[in-house]
Amino acid sequence: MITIAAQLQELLVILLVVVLSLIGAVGFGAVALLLRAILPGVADLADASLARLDTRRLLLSGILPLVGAALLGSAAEGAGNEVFAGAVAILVFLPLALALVVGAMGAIPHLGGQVLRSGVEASPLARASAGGLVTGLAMVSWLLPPLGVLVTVLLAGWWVGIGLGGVAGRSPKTPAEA
Amino acid sequence: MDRTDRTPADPPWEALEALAAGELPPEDEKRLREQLAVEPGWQQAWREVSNVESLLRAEPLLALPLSFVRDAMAAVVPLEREKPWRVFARVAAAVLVFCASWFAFSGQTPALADAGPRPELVVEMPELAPPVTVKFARSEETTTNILRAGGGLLLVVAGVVLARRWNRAAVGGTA
Repeated sequence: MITIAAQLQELLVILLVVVLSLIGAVGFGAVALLLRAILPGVADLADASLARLDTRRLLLSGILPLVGAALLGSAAEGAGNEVFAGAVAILVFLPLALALVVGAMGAIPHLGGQVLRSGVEASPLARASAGGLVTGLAMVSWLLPPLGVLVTVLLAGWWVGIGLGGVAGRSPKTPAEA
Repeated sequence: MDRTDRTPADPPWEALEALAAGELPPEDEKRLREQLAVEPGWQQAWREVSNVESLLRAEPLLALPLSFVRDAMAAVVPLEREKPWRVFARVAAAVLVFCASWFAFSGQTPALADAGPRPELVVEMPELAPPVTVKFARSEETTTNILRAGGGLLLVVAGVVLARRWNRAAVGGTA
């Protein structure tokens, strides 16, 4: 009797974790949607970057800085110099993290539009939720760590590529706009 | 039909492969197709050869990484539009980035590894009384960190420059 109760308890815990993970994944999409509503200009930059370049270029321009940042972080850790570590954090990690967020603002609704039957005609909430859900479910790949690393690097590289393209690729303002 | 123990009456495999790849001259192609129509054994061989060719053409697992590498190379080194010295500079820069990344990941260079103990950086200050000599020992770990930092910085800059260049080119601005 005790064994059955313990098994039921384990099953309930697993179900709770699954439900919370799904809610968290949908909530991740909602965060992206919230940021899009608060920062519409940045969202437009991300959308424009996503529309301009094909996926291969986005991935290449996103994964290169990520690998570089990992190397810099490793060097800073090995050097044990707080000034160097702080400079790397402020000059490299922070901009890349911001690019990641900007990329996610454009990529998550885009992903939702790709997977929903109604596509880009679906409501922004539906697209963001579907995109967040797909992204969260993709993290199941961490059950096989090498696959998880690959999926995460591709995802982060895609987002960073979109974010960098949106911010660094802005066309210069004309005198009339300035 | 074993391709290893063939006789003169067997199908001309090389010619059939060239036909499937579209590499035969027109007159040879016409002659081969006429023979194919009257030789039942050759028709079976032709089916095998053409199936392999069509599989290679339709195989996305092969085609996708190859096209990725080709497009990346074309974006970094657009050979047909650049002057030779710029192509050389770009290739040299690409090799430099690759070597820096390789050394950074591996943690050492062969030349440094064979050089034995690291040279000391000696700073003498004779103007002080008494004269002071400070010796900084450059450890192997320091060299590794410098290589990692340099390689990492190069990769970060390369990614930002590529993103900026491609986006500017896409909107028609200055690349």
